[in-house]
Amino acid sequence: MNESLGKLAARADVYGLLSQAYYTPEISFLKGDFLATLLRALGSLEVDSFAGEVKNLEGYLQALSKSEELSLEYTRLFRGPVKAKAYPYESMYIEGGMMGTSTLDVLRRYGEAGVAIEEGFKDLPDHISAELEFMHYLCRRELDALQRGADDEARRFRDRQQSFLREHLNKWVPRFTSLIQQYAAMPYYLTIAEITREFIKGEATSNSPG
Amino acid sequence: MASYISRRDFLKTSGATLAGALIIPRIDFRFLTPVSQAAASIDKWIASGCNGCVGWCPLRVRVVNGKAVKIEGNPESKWTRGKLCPRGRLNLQIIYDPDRVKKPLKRTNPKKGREEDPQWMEIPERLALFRGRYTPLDADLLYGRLIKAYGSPNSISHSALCSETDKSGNWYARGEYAYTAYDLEDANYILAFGTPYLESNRPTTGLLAAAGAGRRGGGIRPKTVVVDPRQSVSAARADDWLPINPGTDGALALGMAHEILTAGLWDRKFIGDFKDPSQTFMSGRPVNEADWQDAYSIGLVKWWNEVLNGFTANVAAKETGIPEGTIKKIAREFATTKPAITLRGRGVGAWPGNGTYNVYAIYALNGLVGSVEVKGGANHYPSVSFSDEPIPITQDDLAKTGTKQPRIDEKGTVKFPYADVITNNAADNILKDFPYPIEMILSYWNNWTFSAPGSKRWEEVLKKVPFMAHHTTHISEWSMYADIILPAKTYLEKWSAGSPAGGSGVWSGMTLFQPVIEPLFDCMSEVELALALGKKLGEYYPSIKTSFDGIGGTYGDTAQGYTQVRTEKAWKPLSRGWEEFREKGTVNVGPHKFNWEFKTPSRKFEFVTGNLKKLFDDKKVSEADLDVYRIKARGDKLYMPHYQRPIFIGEAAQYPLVLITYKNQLNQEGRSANTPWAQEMYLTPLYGAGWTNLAEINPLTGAKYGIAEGDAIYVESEVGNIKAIAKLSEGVHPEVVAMCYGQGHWAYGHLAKDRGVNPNEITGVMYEHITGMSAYFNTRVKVFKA
Repeated sequence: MNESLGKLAARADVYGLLSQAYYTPEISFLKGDFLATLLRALGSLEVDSFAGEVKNLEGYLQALSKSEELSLEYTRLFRGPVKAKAYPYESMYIEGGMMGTSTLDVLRRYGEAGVAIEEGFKDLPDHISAELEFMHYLCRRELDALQRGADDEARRFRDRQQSFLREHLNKWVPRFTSLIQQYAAMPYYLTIAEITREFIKGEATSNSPG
Repeated sequence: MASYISRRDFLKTSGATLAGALIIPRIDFRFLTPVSQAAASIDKWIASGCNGCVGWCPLRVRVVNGKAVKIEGNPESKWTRGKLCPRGRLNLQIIYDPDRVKKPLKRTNPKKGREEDPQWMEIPERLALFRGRYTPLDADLLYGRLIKAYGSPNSISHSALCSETDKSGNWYARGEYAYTAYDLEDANYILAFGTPYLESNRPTTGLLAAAGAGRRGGGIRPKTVVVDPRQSVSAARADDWLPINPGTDGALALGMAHEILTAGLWDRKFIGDFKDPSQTFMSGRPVNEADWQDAYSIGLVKWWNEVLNGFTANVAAKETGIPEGTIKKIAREFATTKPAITLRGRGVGAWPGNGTYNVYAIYALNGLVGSVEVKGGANHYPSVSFSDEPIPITQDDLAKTGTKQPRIDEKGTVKFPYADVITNNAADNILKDFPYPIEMILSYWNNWTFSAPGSKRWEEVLKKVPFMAHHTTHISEWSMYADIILPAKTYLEKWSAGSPAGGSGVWSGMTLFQPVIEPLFDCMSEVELALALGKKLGEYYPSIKTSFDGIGGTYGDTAQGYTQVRTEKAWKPLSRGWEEFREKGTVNVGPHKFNWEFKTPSRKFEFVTGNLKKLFDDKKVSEADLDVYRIKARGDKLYMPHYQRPIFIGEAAQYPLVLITYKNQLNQEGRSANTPWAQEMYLTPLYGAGWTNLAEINPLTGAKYGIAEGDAIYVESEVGNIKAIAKLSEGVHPEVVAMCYGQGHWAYGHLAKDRGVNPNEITGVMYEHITGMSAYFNTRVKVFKA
């Protein structure tokens, strides 16, 4: 069980780091220990098939002098102009529009789990970064409950994770990440998409009920 | 990880677990924040306003758990009769349009042009410091205050692409340079010239609701006649449609006036009478002014002697293509089915040379039959005024000097003697560096690269000007040339206020715009942009600081505070004040008080305009100037409604047809092109077709040029050609190609792009000079199979 709790912490890490990896690229974050931490967390989850790619990416990021190149790629993939290559919003994949029924369900789940959209975020509730951060939050709450011995609480947060993965992330992340892989020109988003795709796939499988 | 960690397991391994937990790095939450309890499910109606035309209609939005799900009219509003036109409902698809600009963007590819990829990059900083001369803005704060305090004379609005000439008829006849308030509900005869008033004249809800009330309201069902070279939806709904020769509407009005006078059917109470009531107006015979006694109008006899006495229905028939008998019949019906009103739109005014006189002649008919300032008349509207801004504009020496510079559009020159703005002329002048080079443009929501005649010239302008920032909800053709794009809020996310331009009926009102939902993205309203620019520029320039500090009065220097202070007059009288205004969303103003003392120099309804005479005298307008205006009349005739043949771009021998463009019901002044609802119904009422526009020609025209329905054809003018699909329709004048405006986007969103063609690309550039209005309907074209 020691190993299990370590894995829970690692899962929280991966969700948190991927969440940040999908938002406006910031050079200080990218050049910090982001990749090393991600690699370590993935390693402890025995998801280590990306080690080589991550190493390559580390070299690429360290060589970046400014984030402009990444910002351009980020804008082209996720913002447009006019039509984004891979909209980072769940409802675009589920309902084909913004603020769909799925988005309202995401909002409801945030509220029930004790969080809301940060005022400064100024983006939609079903943005990939928000949804991944929600999983990060749920993992941390579960871990925290376990450490306090609050079993029922921990179980509730575990259930929330399973349900959110099943009803939300796993329903759109495969298509979202394959669009990124289709259109990305730089190794950064290709690798992040690949990691996300495989990670969510693994999560959805291992978190299936029973 | 499938198994749940039980308490027993946890306890057993607690030491190691804690050690494991410590490997969690401090990843800060960035997007979510803890809340003590989940928000309750909320389902409510919130009042706000529509920006779909200059009606600024009050509306109500049903918001469920933070999402706007339904839009309806506001039952508190008298002038909209609680209704809302279809445009207002499109707002749902505009807010939730995935192609909206979401974050500020910066261009990284400095090359500009359709073929260039702008390569946008999201930028964290929200504002750049703008220091330039040319800034087309359009709110009190942005278009007025900021630019004055900053020191530029160049606030260039879109107005002269809209319907400025329409205002001139009222100015000549009755003294207000303003649109008309048509009391459609109470009129018994409606004669509309060059306006599809049920689809796309302002304010659309007011006109639509009033027309509906008039036709179905239980009173006398008015007879409606629509004069238009193409059968619009309004024409299809009318009792009669008169397919007039393009640009000859003034002749029809004059022929009618001749008939009304010779038949003795003028309104004696309003106009006056012969001193000997047995005397009559006889065709071809002047009248002695001494024999006539004016009532509330002045100049009728001069008008008769100079213009009307020879302008018989027969003369009018030859010009207009409408049979003489029809003209006589319509004239007599018009004069005897009171109250009878004429409506007119840009179809009659947006013409070089005769546009302003067409408008004057058509408005003057209302005077002849006494339909001015009466129930069911063509009236002025109740004045709805904003409270004053709480602080004055201050200017430093630089700003004082700057604002005194000549304007880039030549406003204030004798070339455009009464124009508020000459939008399209700014393009040619910027390209010529006249009167000086333009270094920087700050613009909001305009898209003249698409909407102006000769639209491609604006692309050249934007390639030339070194820096341009665009504040917009969508990446339009204009934005494609921007260096900075600032995301704008949609109507339902912002604070503001408005009241309808023009009117319908005797009521008007003040509409409150308030956010019904949280803004979806990192966007600002125009007011917020002005406040932010004022604050930022104020750090560098004290006079800008003093022009903006305290602009919200006691309510704070925010968009809400500014809205609150400017609408004080509207909400202070309410028993619960501001809160009540927010709940109701509108305050009714009216009813309009009828008054036969006019604001003209003579205080009467003028058939010989003192205002225009004074303007021409003051400006020392010469014959050479009149030639520039393309006005052929000289002497007293200049100041009377008179007729001049339309002036075209292109020779009839080479270009035998006339290109008439029009707007459909769902064209939300260019803002609906990326909404599925508008696209699906684009030409549905007329042709059952959506998602495109068509080159509409008469079957006779088709036969003449060997064109069948569905053929791909070129429509070619002197300016260029466009390729469109032919539609054969009896509803188009045989010498006309009609095309619906609003398609042919190469930007604006993935649904808007690459559908149909933009007729403005081949429309030539001319002006109605007195008002600065761009001519839209005088471009000659030819058609041939592609």
